[in-house]
Amino acid sequence: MNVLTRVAVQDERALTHDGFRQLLQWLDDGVESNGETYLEMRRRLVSYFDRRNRPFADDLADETLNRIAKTLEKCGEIVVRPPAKYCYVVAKYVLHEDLRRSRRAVHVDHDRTPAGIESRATMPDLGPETALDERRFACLERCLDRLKPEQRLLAIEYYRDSKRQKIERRRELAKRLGISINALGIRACRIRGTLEQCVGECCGSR
Amino acid sequence: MRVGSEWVDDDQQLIQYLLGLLAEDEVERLDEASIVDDDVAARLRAVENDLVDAYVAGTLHEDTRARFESVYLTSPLRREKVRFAQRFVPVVSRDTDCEAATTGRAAAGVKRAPRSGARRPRPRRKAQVWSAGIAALIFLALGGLLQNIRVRQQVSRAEGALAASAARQESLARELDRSRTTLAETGKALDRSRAALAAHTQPAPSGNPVLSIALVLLPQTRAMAPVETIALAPSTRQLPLLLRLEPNDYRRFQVLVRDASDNQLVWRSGILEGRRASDGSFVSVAIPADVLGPRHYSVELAGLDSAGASETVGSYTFLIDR
Repeated sequence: MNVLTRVAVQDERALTHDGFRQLLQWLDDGVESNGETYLEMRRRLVSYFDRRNRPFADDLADETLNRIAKTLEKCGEIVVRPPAKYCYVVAKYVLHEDLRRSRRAVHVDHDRTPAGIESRATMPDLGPETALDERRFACLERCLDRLKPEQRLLAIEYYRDSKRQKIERRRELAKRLGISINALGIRACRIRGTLEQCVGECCGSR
Repeated sequence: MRVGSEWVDDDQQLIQYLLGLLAEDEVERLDEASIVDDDVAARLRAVENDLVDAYVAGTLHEDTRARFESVYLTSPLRREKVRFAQRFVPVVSRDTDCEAATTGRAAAGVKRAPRSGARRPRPRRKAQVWSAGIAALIFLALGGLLQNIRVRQQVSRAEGALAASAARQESLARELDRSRTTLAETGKALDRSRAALAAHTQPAPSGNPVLSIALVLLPQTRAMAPVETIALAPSTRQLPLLLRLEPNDYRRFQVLVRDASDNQLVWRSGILEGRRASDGSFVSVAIPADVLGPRHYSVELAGLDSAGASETVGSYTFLIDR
């Protein structure tokens, strides 16, 4: 993380237990989700900052949610609705602040500078097998085995083709399961996300 | 630039969004929708996974692939998604092939053998019947062999799951041993404190021993320590406690004592200062004995910041025996 961003983030007091609980309840908006809504919102924010090429998307997502929690603690309520809309508004501010900091900062981490990123873009490091790749493979096998049989079957059926036939196959699968194609996609993405996280933890890459 | 025809029209715009091909106003609109609109967020996630899988499988249109490599792969997080897909797509395809091989499709050509008592086949058809029977036997044997392979694979997977479960059990057992060791050490530390207290105890004029220094309480952690039982004599006016602190940034504190059975507040201290000793930091408090009955109590230690906001930094329990 560049120095200015880390300092700016650390200036904020860490979220209290009560503040975090308040944030979860506000995000749930009356429908108890056991924290799933928070996790999904965080995922969306990380993707948003990542698509905007911010190097520390995870930190910016946490910064966004921390600010919202602090507002809730201080003011007791937030009138902007739905909650996701307010999350986007705050995320935009956080993005613009991070952009301004980047323009002022001296970048000390070459890997995360635009030059470093560009050099990797022309030569993506996705090439031959390495020891880490082998470990990823073993981790994926282990993580797949941990899935419930119906989850594994769904993932295989949903992701098995990369051609146009997959659209028809997915329609048939959704019909067989008695759910909409959107609901099927959500389930498949969640299973894949679980696998990605499991593999990441197994490899120690996160 | 229109992306390859392998995508349905609805997804075309999302692909362009992911590859940075949209005008800024469209990007802003989708930025917002990707966070606010559940349907768009779900669709975008699914489309992104399919895009990555298509890149890995080598089925992207040439222009799309070039754009993917120059734009999408600039992010470490997105490169990690591609690395995952490079393993995931072949594994999914391999499992698909195994499923197809073990469905018993090979046994579909079995013909029914003639029933006993039925008219015997005429000699010129005997060879055909024999051929059909042999073919049926071969198909049955093949089906059995394939079933055997499938069972072996299932057994192998089950063995893997068992091994993982055994490893997990072992890990839990080690954690339990560590907790027990910590518990034993905590008990020894308490015994040492009690011995030190006993060495400093002065008898009251009536001959009953009276505590002249404070009792140390350790914070409750996940590895539960035994609850301290404190015997209070009727003549005791105050219960002095030293609450050992876990690391925190506060210098001022407040102690709240609650009845553990219903969490009712029974007593609250004023503002207290933390203290440092050679073996850690403490907060010293004296609880009036007349608020304490023979029951369990929980002590909540709150850290106070300069604005007066509080945060719980430690909790302790004890049992009063009168």
